[in-house]
Amino acid sequence: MMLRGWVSGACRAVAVLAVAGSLVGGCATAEEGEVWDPLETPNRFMFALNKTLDTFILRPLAVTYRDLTPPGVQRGTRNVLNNLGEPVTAFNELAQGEGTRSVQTVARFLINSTIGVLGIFDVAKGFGLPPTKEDFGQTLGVWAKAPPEDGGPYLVLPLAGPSNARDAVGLLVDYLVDPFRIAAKHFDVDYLLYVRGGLEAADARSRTLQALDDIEKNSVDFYSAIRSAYTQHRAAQIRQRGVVTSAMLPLDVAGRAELGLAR
Amino acid sequence: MSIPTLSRRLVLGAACSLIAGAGVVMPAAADDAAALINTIANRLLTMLKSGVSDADREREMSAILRQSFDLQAIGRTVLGRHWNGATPEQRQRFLTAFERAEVRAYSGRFREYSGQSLVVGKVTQQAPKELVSSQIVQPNGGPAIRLTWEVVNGKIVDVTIEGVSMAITRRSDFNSYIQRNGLDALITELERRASS
Repeated sequence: MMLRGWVSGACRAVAVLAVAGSLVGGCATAEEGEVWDPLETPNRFMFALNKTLDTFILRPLAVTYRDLTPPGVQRGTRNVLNNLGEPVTAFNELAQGEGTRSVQTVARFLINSTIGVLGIFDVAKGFGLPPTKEDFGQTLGVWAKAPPEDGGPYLVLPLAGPSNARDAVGLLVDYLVDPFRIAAKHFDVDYLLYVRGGLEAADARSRTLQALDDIEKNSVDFYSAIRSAYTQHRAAQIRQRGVVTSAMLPLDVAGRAELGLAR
Repeated sequence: MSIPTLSRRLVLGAACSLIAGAGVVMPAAADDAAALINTIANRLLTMLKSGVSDADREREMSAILRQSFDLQAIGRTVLGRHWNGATPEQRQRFLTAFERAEVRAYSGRFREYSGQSLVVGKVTQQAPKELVSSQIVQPNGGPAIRLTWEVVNGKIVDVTIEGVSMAITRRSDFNSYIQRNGLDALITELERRASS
């Protein structure tokens, strides 16, 4: 029963993939750096709706989470969520032809799930296995012959926010292959998925508070600024495939200076 | 007695001009670009640690921006194709308003200091640009933020944060606003924000 559901899900994914594949790279951008946005009117509508929900629900929640939860708890939560995401990352690294890193991710998962007490502590990092994160949108970007700035038509998804054809398909595929989702469904503990989703949202939003507030305050057209920033950020993530994390970048320390940023 | 002093001074002067001359001749452009970023970071840090008032911070920010950033070039870039269609008067008004808006934006970003540090890394030559890579390291061990500074002729023309170019984002932002409301409306809006 579950297998059939999975197979039909996979078939659906392949079908959507084919459509997305034909969309990615099938566009001509008018001006360098401008994002292809044929659905701008409905996108702006969805953006406004998401913005309202964010202002009244998600943002206050994220601020509370950031300011009132002990830093150790926040780090532990982030580690647990990252750990639950490792199988999907391993899958995508394999799909991108990064066999070694995929194996390292599996090793991280096994180490952190056991010695790291269900992923609360990232002990694998100390063993020379730094965290990585790859999603299927990035995998499609690696596969595509188009430049990573071109992810097909820009989309604003309900709740999930900025996306494009490539990354929306990516979200769906990551959802389908996620072993924890499959297991939760199998053992009838679906509610755990909602708990995880809620925590993901609070954690992710709490870490983008400063950046998003800054963009909103300093832009004259918030929608366009976000559209551009999202597209560039995703393109950079796809380009730096193979670079583990920012902390792993080769740095010949020419000089060190402290710099303060508004929190 | 006065003669040796004079000669000593002459020797000293000659040595100084030699050193200064060597500084100009040496192809140390990459070091200069990295040094530029380090200087800015140090100036910011000194300011932040001294806990200055909002007005003083804005003045210092304004000085740093005008000295180290090529605001004219950035202004032209962010206006994109609308630059060519603008009258000289519109361009002048735009650049003035844009500068003031950027000063506002930057000084707002450095309101609180919570112990981050900037580590300046490699300089990549990409003529005529030099790309200075750096990282903001968080004091709580959180993920570092990658910053790339684009330097042309000893001045910063763009900052890229985690792959997001400030110039490209701003151009996209302005372009949409101009398409909907026109260039004059954008200039008026920037002027309004700068003086609010």
